[in-house]
Amino acid sequence: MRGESGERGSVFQRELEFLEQARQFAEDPNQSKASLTEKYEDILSKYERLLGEAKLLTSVSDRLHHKLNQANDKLNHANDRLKDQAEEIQTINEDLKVNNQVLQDTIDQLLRARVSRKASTIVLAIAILLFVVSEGVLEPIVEANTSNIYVGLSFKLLIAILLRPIDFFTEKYMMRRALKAANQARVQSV
Amino acid sequence: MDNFYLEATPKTPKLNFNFDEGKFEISGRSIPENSIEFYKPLLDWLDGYVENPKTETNLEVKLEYFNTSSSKCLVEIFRKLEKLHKEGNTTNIKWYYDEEDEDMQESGEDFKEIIKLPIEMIMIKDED
Repeated sequence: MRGESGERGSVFQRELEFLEQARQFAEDPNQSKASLTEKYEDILSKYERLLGEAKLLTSVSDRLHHKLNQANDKLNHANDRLKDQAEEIQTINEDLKVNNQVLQDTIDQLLRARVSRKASTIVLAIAILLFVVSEGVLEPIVEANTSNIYVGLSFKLLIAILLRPIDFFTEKYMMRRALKAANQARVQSV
Repeated sequence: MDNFYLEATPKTPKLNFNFDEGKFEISGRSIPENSIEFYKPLLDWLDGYVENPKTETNLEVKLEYFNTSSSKCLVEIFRKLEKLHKEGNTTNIKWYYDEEDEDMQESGEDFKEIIKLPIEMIMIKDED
């Protein structure tokens, strides 16, 4: 609306021209009574017209201001509603985060249980294999070289002691691989 | 004499002034940055029309919204048609307003008060 104020004179161009004419007329002292009367009537008519337009412009302006107020009220209401909705969304987001964490923990526990079961199966297989090797290969060698029964027992004890660390490292290795695979799957799904 | 036509924009109304039929239309929003600059070509065109008018002239005003300076320009347009009416030409104005838009109705009534022309107020009913 910057240009509007500068052009305000143009909107009232006709009125400004008439005003200038009336001024020039008033400056002339040699006017006849008839022309004075005629000019006076002309001025009255223009004044009446201008008054009507001033009333109209005032009403229009008031209505525009009323509309502006209404629009402002609507904007304020919309703003308040948006704020409320933003708060609701934040609460929902926080709930979702908690639920996601719970879900993730459950998935991890399930994964750990599955990996643990697999690891135990593998360790059992290794134990059976070691037992077979011990009985079939080591035992005859030990019996051929010594009559001390504790040597054979020591091998078996060693195998038994090694089972726990084998179980631990197998489970750890498998868990790392399973977690890596799960992460890759998550990234791909995103 | 050519017709006068301007397409509507978000800030200015459609101006469709058909010389051959004597049918004029102003519709849309009138909130130009500079109203007199926008309406000046139309006012000049109307000066030409008043010199050589059709026997019947009909103007339809279907505005949704207009600013204060536009209302002054509308007065100028109506004054030119008023001159036609005074000279004995049939001149009618139809002022359309939405049934829910009291402001536009009241504005039409205000114009009616100061313009010595038959202005018919026509309510546009919402379809739904």
